[in-house]
Amino acid sequence: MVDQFAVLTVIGAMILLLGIAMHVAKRRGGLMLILVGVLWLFTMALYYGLVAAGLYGSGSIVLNVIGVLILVVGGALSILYLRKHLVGTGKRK
Amino acid sequence: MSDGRGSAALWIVAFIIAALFIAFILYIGVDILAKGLDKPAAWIITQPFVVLGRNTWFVIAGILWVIGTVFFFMELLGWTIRKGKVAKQVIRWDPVDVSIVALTAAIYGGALAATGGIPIIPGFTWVRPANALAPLFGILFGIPGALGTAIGNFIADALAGYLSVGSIGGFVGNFIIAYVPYKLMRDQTFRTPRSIVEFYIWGVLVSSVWCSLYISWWLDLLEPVIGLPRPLVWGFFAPWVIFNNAFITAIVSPILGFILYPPIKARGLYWADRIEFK
Repeated sequence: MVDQFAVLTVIGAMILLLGIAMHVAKRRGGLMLILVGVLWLFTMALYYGLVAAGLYGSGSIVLNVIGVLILVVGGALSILYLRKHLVGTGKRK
Repeated sequence: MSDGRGSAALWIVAFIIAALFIAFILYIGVDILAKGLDKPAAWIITQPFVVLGRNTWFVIAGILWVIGTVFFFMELLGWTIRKGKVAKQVIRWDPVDVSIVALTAAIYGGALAATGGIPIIPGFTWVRPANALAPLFGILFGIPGALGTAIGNFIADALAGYLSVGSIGGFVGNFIIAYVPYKLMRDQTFRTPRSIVEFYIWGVLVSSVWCSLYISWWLDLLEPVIGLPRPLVWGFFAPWVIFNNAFITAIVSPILGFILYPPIKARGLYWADRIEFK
């Protein structure tokens, strides 16, 4: 039987490697693929971590708390990064 | 009739259409509760699936799956349909676009996971208020917003314990929820009667149905791997996803869209101000 989580992990790694290759080659979209690959692998790490911690099916509020952390920390970091790069790149003339 | 009266009449028509959409979705919700959450075969929203059967829906959903997948890869590879023709589009994918992807993924995924388990009926189902954000991210941010929505759903799947190869269907399916209103609404301001009516057609009805059928077809195809029985896919999952998406989107999204459009536009983040077509 195919290990579907291994398949998902391989897909994430392939997206990341493709993104790195495109970024190194200065092709547009490389940075986007790197982000997709990193977040994909972050999700897989989250999955394996939660399995190891035995949190699935436990009804624990920890899963909701992780959601809040992703919302707050991820949102804040993204906004900070966005504000840093937004100057002069906005509306076209 | 003067312009003012004409405008007022159009607003009345738009509000009536919006009210009918909301009333219909509320009626479906009441019907589900009245007949029992454990009897999906009796729900009104399940009847099209019961009447036409799995094979018919597998064909219909398969066609939508192919179209959705082609659009997904076309858009990410820099091609789009514009004025009925295939056209080249230039999305910069600069740090601003990339941070939009990260921001929408964090907000959508985090909010879905944070509110996971808010029960309507304890032990059975829950509301997903973050669903209201999905079409808005497409309408406001375009392809970067739709991609962030897809990633956010993928993260939420892991936190909810639903992660599987089926989540690949959820990835593109959630992209479609954001993509359909982004691509098909001509007025995305939420400030005109046309904009409101377009949102209910494309952002509520079509995107919810398309997303549900897209994921359902994928789950049906991969039944030997994922293990979700086909009768459950078409007899519960598909109608439930349509309802769950349309319910919160119809009620909350137009209000959020009205509030969010001006600041997004003012900061130069609205997709139309950041994209070029060739």
